Amino acid sequence: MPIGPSYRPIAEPESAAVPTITEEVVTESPAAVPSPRPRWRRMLPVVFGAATVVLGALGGWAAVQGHDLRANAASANDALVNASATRTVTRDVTSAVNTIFSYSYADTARTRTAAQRLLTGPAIRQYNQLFALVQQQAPKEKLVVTTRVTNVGVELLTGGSARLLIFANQEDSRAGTSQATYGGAMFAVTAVNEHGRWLIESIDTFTGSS
Amino acid sequence: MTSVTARLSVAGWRSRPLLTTSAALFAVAVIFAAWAGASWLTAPRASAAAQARDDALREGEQAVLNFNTLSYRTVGQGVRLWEQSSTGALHSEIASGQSAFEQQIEQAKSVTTAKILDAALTTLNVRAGTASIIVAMQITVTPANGAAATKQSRQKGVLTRTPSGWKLSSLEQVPVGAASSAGKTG
Repeated sequence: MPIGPSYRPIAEPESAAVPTITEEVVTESPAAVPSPRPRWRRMLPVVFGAATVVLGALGGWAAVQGHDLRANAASANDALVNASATRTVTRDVTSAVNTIFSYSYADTARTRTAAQRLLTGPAIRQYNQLFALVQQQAPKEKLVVTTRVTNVGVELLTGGSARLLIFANQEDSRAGTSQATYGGAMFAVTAVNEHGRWLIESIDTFTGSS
Repeated sequence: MTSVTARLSVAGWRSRPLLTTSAALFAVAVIFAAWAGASWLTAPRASAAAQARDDALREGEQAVLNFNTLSYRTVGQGVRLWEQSSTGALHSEIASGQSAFEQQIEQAKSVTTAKILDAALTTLNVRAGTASIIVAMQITVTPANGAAATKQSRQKGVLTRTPSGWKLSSLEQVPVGAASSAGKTG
């Protein structure tokens, strides 16, 4: 697209008439004015385009990776990796288990009341059903049951929920006698964090019906 | 020269729309790539400790399962597997007591299989390469004559990281004891 006065739409008739003048003008112009489009500057749009595509692809990939990492981090398992959170949930759940599974025939109501604060969700209903039996039977046999957790492992720990494997010893004795039986229990506990306190939501005794 | 002046007056962005657009898009791409790169680099990543914990639990469970599985028909193979699953003191015990133990099992003609109900690490020291594990198991022993007997078993072990993975350096049953004297052993 030549512009300006340098173009000659109909060169032949004139050049035939005045050949020397045409040649002189053509010879002079390269020296007087530099070429408007050196080769490297003609390539610039192509280079920009290619670089845009490459940067766009890399940026897109990085954005997706970053999003995935953040999404995974939100549900990451902190068990044993976050030592203080692991200690807190271990302490809270150990204390809760020892409390809800220890009672004395003389004051079963005390255990039942304490349990209401330590359980949540379906666990409260299930516990109350079982404990109704305890409240009936314990006074008859003067039963004293003591449960102590011996081993605790945290399998899963996120901000809001946790799962722990628990081994506990249980001692059943009858007041006024020296009779005592010992048992070892193993079960998994699912706990939820409500307002900074860990509450027991369910207990799995591996029998297929918890 | 009029040709020069004329050329300079039309030089500029409007005369090169392709160059302008491509340069602008390139600038946008640079900003986008810089932002995306920063977003990716600052995203939180799964820690090496989490990876070590998952490895120790997975390999520890497998080792405990191995140690609770033995058939009189394949005692040699079974004990070889025990050796591979253990390190330290436990490994020495297995290696030294091997032939007498194998004879016992072969004579009893029993088959022991195990199923892991649940397992968890109780301690983890990534730097030292040690961990403790507890496993809730169901063991089934089938004698040569008679019915199979199934019982629950609580086991605890110590794991040590070796060049070929996490292995058991000790394994024992958790004893049942008086609740009042029990302290939390983790």
